[in-house]
Amino acid sequence: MEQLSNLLGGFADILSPSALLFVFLGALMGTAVGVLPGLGSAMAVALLLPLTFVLDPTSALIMFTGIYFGGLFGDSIAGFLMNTPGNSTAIASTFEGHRMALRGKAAQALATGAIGAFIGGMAASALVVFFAPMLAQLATGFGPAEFLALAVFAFVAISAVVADSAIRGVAALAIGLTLALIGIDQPSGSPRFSFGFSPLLDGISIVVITVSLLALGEVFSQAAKVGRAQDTKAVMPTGRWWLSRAEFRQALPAWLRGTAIGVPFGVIPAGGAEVPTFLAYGTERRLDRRKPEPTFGKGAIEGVAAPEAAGNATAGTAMGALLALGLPTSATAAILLAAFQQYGLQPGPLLLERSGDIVWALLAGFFLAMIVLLILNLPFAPLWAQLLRVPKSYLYAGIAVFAAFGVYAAGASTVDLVIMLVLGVLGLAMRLYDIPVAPVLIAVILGPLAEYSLRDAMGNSDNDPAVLVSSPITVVLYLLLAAGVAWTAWRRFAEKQAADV
Amino acid sequence: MSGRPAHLSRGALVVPAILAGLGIFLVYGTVTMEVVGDGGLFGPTTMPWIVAVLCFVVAALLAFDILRPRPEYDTPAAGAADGSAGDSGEAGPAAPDGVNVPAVLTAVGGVAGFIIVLPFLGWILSATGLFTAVAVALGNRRWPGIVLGGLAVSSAVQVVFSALLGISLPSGFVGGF
Repeated sequence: MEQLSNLLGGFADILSPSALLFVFLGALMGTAVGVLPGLGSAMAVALLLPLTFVLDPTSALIMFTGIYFGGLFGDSIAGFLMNTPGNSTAIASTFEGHRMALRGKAAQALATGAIGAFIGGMAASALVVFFAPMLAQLATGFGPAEFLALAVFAFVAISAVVADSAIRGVAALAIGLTLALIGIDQPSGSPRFSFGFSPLLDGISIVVITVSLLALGEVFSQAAKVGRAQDTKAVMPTGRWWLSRAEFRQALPAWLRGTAIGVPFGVIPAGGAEVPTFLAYGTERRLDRRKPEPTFGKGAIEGVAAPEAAGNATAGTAMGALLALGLPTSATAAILLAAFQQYGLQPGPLLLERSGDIVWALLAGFFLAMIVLLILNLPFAPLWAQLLRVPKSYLYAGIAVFAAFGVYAAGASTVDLVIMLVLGVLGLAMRLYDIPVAPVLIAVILGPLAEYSLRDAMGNSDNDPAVLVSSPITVVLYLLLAAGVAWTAWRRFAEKQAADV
Repeated sequence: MSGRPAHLSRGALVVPAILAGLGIFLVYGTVTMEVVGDGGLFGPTTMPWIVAVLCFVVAALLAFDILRPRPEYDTPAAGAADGSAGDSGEAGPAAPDGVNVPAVLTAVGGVAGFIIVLPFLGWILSATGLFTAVAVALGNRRWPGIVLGGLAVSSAVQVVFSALLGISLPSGFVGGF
């Protein structure tokens, strides 16, 4: 197996003290931002993007991946203990996780979640090692029409299929596409929407957009909520942090089912882990109803195990899709794509050929990160829970300082800081009125790809629109997309019917 | 109207307004664009037109979605049981637009102030001010604690990123010493 020898080479590259340090740092920071409600791995990676100016690519990318996975380990801690999920990816597991905590089984709930995240992440990483080269091989045949289809798929999937309200998702998409248009048009050299103002010629940096919308927007939104009675008491975990044999046997099938549900969702651009975690939760609940004594609603261990495994399985294969296809399927993956671009690396089919050593070191880093995260999360969960005691005012003041630093470091320009303030206020408005942020980021990253692919495809074919659906890959992608939209419409319709009863 | 969640309140019309504004920005910028060379049918103006149309269509649909009658929220019963715990199932805040305006203005003002003073005061002092403003906005009034905290955070950033990693930050007049 060529993949195995490549992977071993990757391990050889990262088993150095400095690389291990970055794996550890990433895992540490990822868990921390996961634990703290309102923060997430997307924001953490965005804030740390300036490090790409000074670190070598492997170290920085390994650290960022550690943050991505770590966020999914940590997000359940606040959810289980305080009933306030750190991220939308932990909502599904919080239902039963918090009930377990209320019954005095907080430590076991956290252990179930951590082991589930470990199993899901490991299985997905193994699949990525074996299938990423094949996926990249397939993608070498991609032309402009295929890339346009992938981008359109990602746009529609993240805005219409994943977001709660399709129209609000598309609104976010339109904002992102507009931001992406500012700056010089690459193929023709025409300045667009800069109105003779030279700092805008290079466009608005992705660092500025992500930091403003995710970090500063969250700071403003926390300020908007000051004075609302919403502080909840945390249940602190006590007692054994391992699972009894009976608990383990109960959780094992759920972990495996969750992994199986999560894996495919990383590859299709359906925007993150929310959908698979809820699907995994729903599956376990249906299975539970058939038992003579249903346990859901009373703190069922399966309700924690399956969604947590599904979440990290999705993150693992999402990294595979990013590396092999250059396609970000979640907000964090979109910012990781920006990190690659800072180094002049373009994720996608050619990455494995041109920079194989970085990719294999990164894949080896996935496995190491999982092991480090399991160690950080299993025995030390009570320690992480202490983070929840940090006063919000200090926490968000620090985030505001880091946001200002990140934006300034990216371009050393006051104009960027002003853009940050404007976009931060936009981020506040989006949070107040339930407009999702992830579609903005996907649109900013993939907007140029979509536009240039469309123009290439049309230019190469004398403006014949049929070229856009001329290959089997494009047809399959558009059919999948149509099926996804139909399924979502049906699901929403069915929910409405059920709610009316 | 009081029973409506925030994203369906009148205030939510800000979002369609922003989208319409972006659409106008795109149309104006596209019409006045100086296209270099022969753009062709699919030139640099094609995508802006597509996105502009998308902005206007979404703005209209979203405004309709916000304004259309919602019997489930607009019934008199929901209005009468305003302040007390509603029976809608969700335990959201009583006021849908419960935005703490002074706090938001303090935070936004802190960032604006930071941008203005950064070139003069340098990173450490400006960032300390930003930290203080945001902490105050979030309801913290322990002045010594937040000022010292801000000083610690901004100095740490200066030491780690500027001194150790070589990312340049403005030193302001402090750098003159």
